[in-house]
Amino acid sequence: MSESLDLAQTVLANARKTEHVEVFVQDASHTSIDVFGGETESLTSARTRGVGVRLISNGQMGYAYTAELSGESLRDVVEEARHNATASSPDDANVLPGPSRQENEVNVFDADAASVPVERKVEIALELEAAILKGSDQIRTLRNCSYRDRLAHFALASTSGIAAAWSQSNCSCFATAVAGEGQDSQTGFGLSNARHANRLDIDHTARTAVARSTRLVGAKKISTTKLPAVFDPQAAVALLGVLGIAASAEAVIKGRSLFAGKIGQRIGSDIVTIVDDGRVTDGLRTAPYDAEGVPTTRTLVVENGFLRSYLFDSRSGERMGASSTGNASRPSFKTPPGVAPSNFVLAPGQKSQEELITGIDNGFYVQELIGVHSGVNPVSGSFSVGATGLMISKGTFGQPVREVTIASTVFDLLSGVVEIGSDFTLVPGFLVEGAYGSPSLVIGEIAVAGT
Amino acid sequence: MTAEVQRLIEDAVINAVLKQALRSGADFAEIFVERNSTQTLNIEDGKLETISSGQDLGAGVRVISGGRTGYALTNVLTRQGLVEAAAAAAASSTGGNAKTAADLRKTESKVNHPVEEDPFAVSAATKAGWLWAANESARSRGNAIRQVLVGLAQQHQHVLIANSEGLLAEDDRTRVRFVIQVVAEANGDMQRAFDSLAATCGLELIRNNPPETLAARVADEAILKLSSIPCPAGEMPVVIGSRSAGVLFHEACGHPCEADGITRGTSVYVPLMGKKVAPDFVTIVDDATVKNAWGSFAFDDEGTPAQRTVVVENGVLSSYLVDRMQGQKLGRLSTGNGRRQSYEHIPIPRMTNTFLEPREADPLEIIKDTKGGIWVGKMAGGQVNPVTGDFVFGADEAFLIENGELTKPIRGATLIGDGPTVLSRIDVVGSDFFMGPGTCGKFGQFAHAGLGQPTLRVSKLTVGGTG
Repeated sequence: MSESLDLAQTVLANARKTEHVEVFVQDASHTSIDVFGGETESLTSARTRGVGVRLISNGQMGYAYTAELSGESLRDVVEEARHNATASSPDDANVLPGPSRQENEVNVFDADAASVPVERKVEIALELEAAILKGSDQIRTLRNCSYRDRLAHFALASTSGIAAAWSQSNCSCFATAVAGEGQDSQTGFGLSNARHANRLDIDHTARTAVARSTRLVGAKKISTTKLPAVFDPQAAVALLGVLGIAASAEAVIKGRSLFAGKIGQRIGSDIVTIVDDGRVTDGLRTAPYDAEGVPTTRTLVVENGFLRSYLFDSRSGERMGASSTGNASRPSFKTPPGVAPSNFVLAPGQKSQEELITGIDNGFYVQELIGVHSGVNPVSGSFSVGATGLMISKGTFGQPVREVTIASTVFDLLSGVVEIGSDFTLVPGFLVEGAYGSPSLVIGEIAVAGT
Repeated sequence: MTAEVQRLIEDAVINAVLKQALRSGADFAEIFVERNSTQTLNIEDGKLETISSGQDLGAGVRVISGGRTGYALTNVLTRQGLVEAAAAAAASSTGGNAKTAADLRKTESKVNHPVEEDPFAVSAATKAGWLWAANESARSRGNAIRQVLVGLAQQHQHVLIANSEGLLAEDDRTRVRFVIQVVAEANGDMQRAFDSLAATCGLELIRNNPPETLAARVADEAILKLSSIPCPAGEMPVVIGSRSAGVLFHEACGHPCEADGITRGTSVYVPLMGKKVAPDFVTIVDDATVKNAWGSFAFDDEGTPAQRTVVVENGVLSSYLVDRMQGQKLGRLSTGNGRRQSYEHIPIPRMTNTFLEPREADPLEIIKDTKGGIWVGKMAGGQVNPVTGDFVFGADEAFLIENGELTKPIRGATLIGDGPTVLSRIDVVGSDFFMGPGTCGKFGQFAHAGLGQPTLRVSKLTVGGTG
């Protein structure tokens, strides 16, 4: 059925009787197009393949990978994993999952996606650039404008009986618009994702990038104050990334999660519900199986403000006496699986973003957060991050704002959520694995530091 | 596995690839071949969980035709696999007569970064022993220590670059990195401290800098943070200690000087070449020749020899950081800043080791001379928007300055501002110097970067804090 699965089985044949071995094969083709000034700036086409081997012997685990797929390298990679196991700590939790008997009907591969001609992909990027340039007189240029796709085939075979193969297609177009007047320049980002290039929403991506950059032109610092805030979905997802890391059972076990010991406790206001869903139809990280061949699931992480569950792979499940939630993840065949969110989503509410803003007399619309990866303490949850956005005055957007910081803690922020929008954005994590989705959030009060 | 150097592909294959790449009239063709071996060991939660190692091998063929770049990559390094990649890369080049590649001439490097002890020739058990010692050292610092992570990552990257102008260069880069992270807890308050040790060299890095010493220091830092008070917010003088390692200047000055932002007109530095951007006593340098530094190499990833580039000389913006492609657009030569994460990526202009040069002031006097403000000992990393120059940095270690003295440790400090303003507000530069390792991300590619600075003071900077 699958060339990759055959390869995985071939490598697995090198396992010895007493060993537990898992072989992961990745075979991915991708296209990457960058345009500038109406021309193709670069066009990359690629196919890369590789094999990763996890081997457990006497409770000790080793990992090895290779991108060289000759017969000799395929034997060597198992031997290398075997050697690596010998110096590691024995651990009863080092187990490989068994096969699932469930039907698995998640399909995230559009076979037609492979037949889109490269000329059409170039056109998409050029159309996006053109749409942004004519979107407003204030648009000066673009920082980047790109098309990307990736068609990947995965296979996993193990001595515990898993033999699974699945495929994934992802296409995206994205751009950063630069708008300005005089010395002042501001940026705005837009992104569209789909399984097939023809379903990318170019117009919406352009409108988003144009609106986000132009409305910031003339941004100034404001003086230090406390006021209600609306977090735009692109800003809210940056903070969800912090929660996604904290929800990992591996982080909890290792004492580096702000959710440790908090199952069943209130961590947010009663309208906050967060779900990790590895099977949702349009998810960026949707797949039938996780990175160790366990079927993906939907996990309720936060329910009406109460922490309900962590995210588990087999090993962390074994340690905490829970079942895997199908959250084993690996960026590529070069790394052993760890725990990461799939599509980690804060559930939308009823009101449109406009309605949320209309209700605010004097507030701060947070369009973008910067420095989240360095500004949030992932252990304590306290943060101080940079923000860009707009003042909200009598229910409408007012003076644009830059170079201010927002300081709070993750728990204060979640407890301060008073309203949730019906709008929704799902994006790939920035410097974290997983995809993160959020609507607009209204926070009762935040501290903004400026001049 | 050894770091033994073998030619990755034969000259005859290179010539076949370049010939194919130039068949439809492209201006320039290049092949980049890479063999990358890695090994990592981590101890966390008192367990050496997994040792991981492996090899990646692949090649990328780049074809430039006018302003357009075609790139194709493969990990099938046979003559057929590579010629197919060349044909794919050339597919987008505009029609024209086939051009001929110049004869290959091997370029020898003038700089090298010696490796005394090959990381791949030492047993995993020996390395595990070092990590266990560091783990013990950190845990022995006090009852408040809750978690310790220590890791050792080693890499041997062998690259070959050949192009249609006859360039043929090879570079061997051996890199070793030790990391330590400690979590301490008291009364439900958890604090984290982190540090790393990394260089382009062999395991002598570890032999000469015992990891248990660094581990103990980081553990003490985590414990000290438990007694820290929330950082005050507002505008104030900020003394930035040398161990902050130039993160600020990497972000605020380095990125906007990278040539792609200049040719696109998106950098704040576009109108400022030859103009004053900082006080006279500020000189900022990018230098890939610094012996064994984390961002060093012999050749960049386009085969241009490593060099030293003065970006800001005595306060005047004096050079951009240029790769081949952007150099062509700007009418300048590459400054040896064409870098790529791997064969899977096209080269883009990147920093190497970027640092602000020391001057005369005694670092202790700088603090004494500061009535109120904060001192930043270490940075946690940062982010900059290269278009606006706006940046944000987390301070990982910081103290309150009161009447010229460091008084209380503070937590949650964030520095925010924009590059041009912060440079203009440096009012004194110290005589000490420290360069540390960093990982820099740009357009989805990661690069090893060295970052350095002396102690210095910014007269007024916005500090975000919770106090």
